[in-house]
Amino acid sequence: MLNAMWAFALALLLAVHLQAATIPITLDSFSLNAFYSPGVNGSLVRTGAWNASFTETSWSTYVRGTPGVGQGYHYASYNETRDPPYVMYDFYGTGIEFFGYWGHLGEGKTMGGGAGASSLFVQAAGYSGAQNIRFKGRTTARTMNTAQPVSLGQVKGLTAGFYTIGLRVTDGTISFTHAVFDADFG
Amino acid sequence: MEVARQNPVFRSPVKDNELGELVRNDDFGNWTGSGWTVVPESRVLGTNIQNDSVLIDLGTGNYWMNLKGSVGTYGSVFRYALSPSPAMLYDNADTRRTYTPWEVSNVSLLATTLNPDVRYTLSLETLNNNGWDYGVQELNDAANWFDISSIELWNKDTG
Repeated sequence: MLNAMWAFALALLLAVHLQAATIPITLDSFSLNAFYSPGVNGSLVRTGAWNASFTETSWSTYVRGTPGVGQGYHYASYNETRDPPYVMYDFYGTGIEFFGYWGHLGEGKTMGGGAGASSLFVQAAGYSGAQNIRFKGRTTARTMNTAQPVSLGQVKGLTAGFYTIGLRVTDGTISFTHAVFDADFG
Repeated sequence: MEVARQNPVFRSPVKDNELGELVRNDDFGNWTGSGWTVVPESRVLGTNIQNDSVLIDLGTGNYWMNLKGSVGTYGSVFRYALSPSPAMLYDNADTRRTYTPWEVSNVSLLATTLNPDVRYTLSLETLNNNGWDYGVQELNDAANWFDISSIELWNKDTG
């Protein structure tokens, strides 16, 4: 009787420890799973395109073939004469959160800071939940080594399924570093 | 399903032979084409020849896959095809461009959840040229590099 109880308790412990249907997965801004619109084109960043940058490699001294050093990110600025730039991911899961910095992260020892705003959209078969989910924030200019990515917007608690979720830049500038989505494995 | 991510399996397209030399790993996949080249300093296998390809048997039991390689100014366009089509991937076959202004290694090129009950094959083929017209033919010809650093698999029977 006692052995059976121990066996049952052990089975319960093992079951609780191993079972986890949802796991957060990080994909950074250089992942090819990220889709950008307009496409990445640094020369057009002021007119709404995305720019791929690193915090320790300067565009002012750019030479083709330079490795990216430091924090990698993609940034875009809102231009009221054009459609808002956006970045989006396809995934199977229950939610996603975008991370980065409000404003322009910049390069060198000081981050530029600034304000920005985002709006998240959700595409999925049968989805009737919220759309144009808005977030905004401001970063104070500071030394780079004290800066940490913050949440730029999230959609969570969805019914497990296939989603395309994107973040639009709707004001100011946003520097996007990575997304974390809640992958569902059944 | 029990999920055990703590012991992901990494497969490398290169390996050390009995002489300690870094060579192509023929257990990684079925390689086709003359351009596949070992890059020792970054431990990747890459090619700049159009239509070079590799067919990879992912096996069964996997619920997550992450293919990694380099992106950069010499990056090309490549075509991928996962068969059979996973329910959790929007496009089981498509093209992607590995161009970005900076040279970045070990970037996620294709990541997707999989059905562990299904045995998948992944085919990759370089289509050459990143599609960007530099205005100089020499630069256009150089923009056709595609390489692989690893495939990461999460298997339900590992851990």
